[in-house]
Amino acid sequence: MCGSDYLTSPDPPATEGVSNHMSESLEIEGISKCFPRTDRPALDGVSIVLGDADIMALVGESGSGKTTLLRIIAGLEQPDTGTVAIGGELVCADGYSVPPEQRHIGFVFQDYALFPHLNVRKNLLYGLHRISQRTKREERVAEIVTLAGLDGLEKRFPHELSGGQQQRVALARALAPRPSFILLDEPFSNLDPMRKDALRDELRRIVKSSATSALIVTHDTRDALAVADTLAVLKEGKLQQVGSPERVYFHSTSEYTASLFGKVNRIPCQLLEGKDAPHGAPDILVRPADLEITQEGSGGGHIVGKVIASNFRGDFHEVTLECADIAAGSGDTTCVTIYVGADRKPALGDTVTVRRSRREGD
Amino acid sequence: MWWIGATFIALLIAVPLAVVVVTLFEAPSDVWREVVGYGVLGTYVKGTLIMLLGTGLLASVFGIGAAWAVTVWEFPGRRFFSLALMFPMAIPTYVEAYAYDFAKYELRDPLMLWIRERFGAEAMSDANGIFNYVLAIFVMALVLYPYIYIAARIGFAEISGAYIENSRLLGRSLWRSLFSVGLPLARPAIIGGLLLVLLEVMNEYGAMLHYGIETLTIGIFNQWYDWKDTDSAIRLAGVAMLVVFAIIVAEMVLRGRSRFHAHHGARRNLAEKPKTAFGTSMAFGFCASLLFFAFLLPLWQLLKLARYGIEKVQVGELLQPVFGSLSMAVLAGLVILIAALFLAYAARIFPGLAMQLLSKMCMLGYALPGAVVVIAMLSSVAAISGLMADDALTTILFTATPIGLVMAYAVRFMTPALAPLEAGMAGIHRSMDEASRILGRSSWGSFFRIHLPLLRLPLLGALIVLFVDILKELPLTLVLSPPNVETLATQTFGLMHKEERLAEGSLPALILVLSGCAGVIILHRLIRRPLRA
Repeated sequence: MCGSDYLTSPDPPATEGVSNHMSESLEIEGISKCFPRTDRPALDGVSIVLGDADIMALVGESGSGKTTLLRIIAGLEQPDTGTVAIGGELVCADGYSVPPEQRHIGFVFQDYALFPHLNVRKNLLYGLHRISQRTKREERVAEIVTLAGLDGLEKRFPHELSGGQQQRVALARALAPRPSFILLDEPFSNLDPMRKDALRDELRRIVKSSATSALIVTHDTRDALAVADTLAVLKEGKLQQVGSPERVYFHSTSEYTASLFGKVNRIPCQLLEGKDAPHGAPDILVRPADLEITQEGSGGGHIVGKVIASNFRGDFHEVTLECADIAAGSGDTTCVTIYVGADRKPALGDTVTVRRSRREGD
Repeated sequence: MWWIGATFIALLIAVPLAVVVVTLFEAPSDVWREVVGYGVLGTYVKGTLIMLLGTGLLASVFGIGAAWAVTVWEFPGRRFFSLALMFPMAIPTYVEAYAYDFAKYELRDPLMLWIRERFGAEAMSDANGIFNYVLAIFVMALVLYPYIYIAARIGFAEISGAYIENSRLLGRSLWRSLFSVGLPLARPAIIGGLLLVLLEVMNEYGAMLHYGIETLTIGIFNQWYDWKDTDSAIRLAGVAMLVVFAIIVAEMVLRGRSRFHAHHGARRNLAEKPKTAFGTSMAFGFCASLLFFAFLLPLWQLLKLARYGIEKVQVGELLQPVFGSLSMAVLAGLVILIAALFLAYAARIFPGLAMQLLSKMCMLGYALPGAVVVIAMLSSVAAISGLMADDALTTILFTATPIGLVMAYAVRFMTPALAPLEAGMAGIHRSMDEASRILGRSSWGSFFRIHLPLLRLPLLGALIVLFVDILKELPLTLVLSPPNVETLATQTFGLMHKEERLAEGSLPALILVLSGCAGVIILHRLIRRPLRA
């Protein structure tokens, strides 16, 4: 600790995430994949467990390997090493691979891949050929149409639907054959930004009410935080952290994960007298939302700074403070960002004191 | 399964060519030494080069000029001309040549008489040769310019619209923009069209024979038929292949790296057009006279001939070649289409280099003149028969059944079938295949339920192109069709060229022209229809 009651260094890396081994829809173990003519593996020993009726979001920047992982799970690509088990049954292990049509999973493509020559009803029927009875097939289509809110659109062709409707059809088509779980590849990237939030909540509702587990790949951390029960962060083919959205957001195990999910302040520390650390005093990472203005004046764990910039963000102001000499004696100035309510905007040049706000469970 | 099929189709094309190449390395016969020594080879090469150069140049002037006129200028009847200027494509070159026969009597003969009186008999003989070349080049360019016209129109109108707007926003005048941006951008497309024209010139048999121009194609048939000298014919075929190869390499060099791809938003027509009275009337005049000389005048000549012909011919005599043509076109068209579908889908599920090579190999036949394909097929069948010491194969393929002819058509016309299907396949996003597989369908199931229905339009387009191409094909049909099969093409050739019964021959010729026009109109409609469901 660096002489403060409030500012704490990040949690130590902990093995968290899903520990329930009873009902996994999907269990992948040590998946590695290297594409020819590349020096870095696309995936490097990735292991994930997806629980029953759980929605997991796989987050990473483009090139982090998340889509490759999805395609390996679907059987569209083969891994170099590692195993994939679906519903407790091994579908992919060294050299052995069940073809995609026999894995019984759903897949929602980034471009939805709705068959342009088939109308909505026929698109939904396409995956139901294993149901031999016609009436049963029609029943299932009617069921899924209601679930996905597609009533009245059955006769439409894909190009006659809006982006959100196309997404729901793609989702319904994937869910129709009652797959073990569904995979969604960047499902939000083709949506109108104005309506994205509503459509995202709708997607979560449909998946939840179908009681199917889902693995969603996305690069948008806002979507991931809102839609998932569990987050998995992937960087350069390696899994960084798995856990609940709150845990990953507020207790990131690495600076990469922390900055991926939003702005974060890096604040230098100073060691207390008599304490020792192998690499000197560490910096700590604190989210702007974790800092609040205090009237108590300076003291332990308080930071004093001058307001040098203020940007209006709608619900709040993003205020940048210039703080001199936080770690006493270093002589460095540090920029610290805080969020201030829209009604309490400080003026440029003001001097304010901030401290870390208390949160439940700390 | 897919591999074996694709390899078989490729072998069908590769084996005959291999036989030609192998023969080239064997010791030449005495006749070949004479062919080379007495300058016969030189004559063939000279004739070919003159025709290539002349037709290529004139067809470019016609094609680029017409495309420029209908895209850049606005004049009365522009929309009509933009379609009608494609019609000359429907006329087989040899039919155009026969239709221009009147030029021989009404233009050449008086001119030659005048030259003989003025400059003597020797000058007349030279002038006669030159006249034949000029007329042949003119006739060929009139029929072949649409290849360049279509390519240039796509280049001008679809790719350049947005760029020209941009160039104007950057401060250049409309005219400067058209010349400095529009023309260079259309260049790769134009060169692609020119390549097709040159390959057609290499292939031409009927028209060259009619004008007495000795090209390599004519030479191959001469050696084969008149001199019964297979060896020299194959060697001439080898020379023809070299010329074709040189043309293709030249095209690749000329195009260089400049294969432009339009951005999605750039596919826009030119919004504003320059309007000056002079330019507008020039554009109109150019289009009108081109259409007149290329299409209306020959059509009028054919109709005039047909008025006499219809009295001399009975309907039954016409029905036989119509039936022969239709059955060959349907039979060969379907065989080629199915093979092309197979190749296109195989290349999709095995996207490796080997499969690409196979499909490129199958496209090779299109570049080869019909005469080369004929020689390659006949000599390879002869070689196989020689190995088996039995003539049964020849009988089965060429005498008793039209199998040999269908195979030859397949070698020559795989490209017009495969190219639109490959383009159509490329238009179907890969995620369609994957979605279908994940929803539990096998690769065959996906093919019938997803790819085949989505390829409807390219399939129809390919079928029409094949149909028209096979209907008017002459050299292969002439040599390889079974003795009892008469087609519109062979009958037109027989009556108009061999027997000089122009009136009777005009009837099958007219049927060919009209069915070609129907094909052009359907294709035009097809291309303009949006490709969605």
